[in-house]
Amino acid sequence: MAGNTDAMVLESGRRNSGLTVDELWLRYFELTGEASLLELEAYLQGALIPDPLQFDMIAHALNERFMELGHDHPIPYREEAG
Amino acid sequence: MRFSVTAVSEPNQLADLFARLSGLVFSEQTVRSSLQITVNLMHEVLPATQGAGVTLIREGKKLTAAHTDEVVKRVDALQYELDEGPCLSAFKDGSPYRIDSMEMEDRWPRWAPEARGMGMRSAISVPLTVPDDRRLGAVKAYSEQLAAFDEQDVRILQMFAAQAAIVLANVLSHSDAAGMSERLKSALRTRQEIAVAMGILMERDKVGEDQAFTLLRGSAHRNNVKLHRVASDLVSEVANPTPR
Repeated sequence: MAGNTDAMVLESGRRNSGLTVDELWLRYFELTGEASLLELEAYLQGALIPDPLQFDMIAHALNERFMELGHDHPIPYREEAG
Repeated sequence: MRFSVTAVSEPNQLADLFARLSGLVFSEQTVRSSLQITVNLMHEVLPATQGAGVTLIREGKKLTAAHTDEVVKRVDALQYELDEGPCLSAFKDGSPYRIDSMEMEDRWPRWAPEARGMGMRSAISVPLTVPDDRRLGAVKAYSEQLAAFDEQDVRILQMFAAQAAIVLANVLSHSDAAGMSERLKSALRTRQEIAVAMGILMERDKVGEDQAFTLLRGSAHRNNVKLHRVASDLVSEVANPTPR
């Protein structure tokens, strides 16, 4: 499937983070993410495009994982931080 | 005239209650567990609360699906039996109800004196509504103190109700036959705290959900902590303000 940019950024981020899709979903769910596990899988495969808020929640779930690993926030957000 | 109320008593009826919510069948244990997390957290966040609970209503059947203590159950059972009370009104009208003094309360003339007799002096109840505007029941908190709750507490309770509804709509696909894993329970609790914090920011700063999330993650990044930590500090501060 031809990737879209969102999918590529999130999926490569996920692989680098070492999180399984299930683990990513749980962390995203904790952040008040609204997509189901199936929808998250679709976002990562490029079959569905997340709205900016859902994208940022997935990105933040990944970035918090990267912080645990001693890195900063490599995944850029859609909304500018205040 | 009294209307008879059918209490939900068989285990599968609670599952049936939500069968059409997402096209999936919930196990009773899953629904109860997720709601119990909500009410326990409510109990912590609203300091004057003696007890909290969730009433689910569908096709005339009423059930206290989660509760922090026996008094909540008894007071709820009384509402169902008398067909009168703030939770039933919240469900029917789609509006929040606040009781500052049970002794002075005249909106539910048969229920209020009995509730007072059980030690309840103030209470709040808000409707439990899913995103497509279907009402599932009501969420309530009560206190043995007079005028224990203010308008902000009503809004906080509304945020809990909103979260409980979303949780109910999403939780099944991640639970197993025996009920929810500890990891999921913990995730539910974290989620609800963050949701309450976002609600507080939206209310306080008059911003939308996107901006509230951005504010929380910005603060988390600057302070090098998890977003959950920022959220729970904010919720604690609002629920128990430090005297100036």
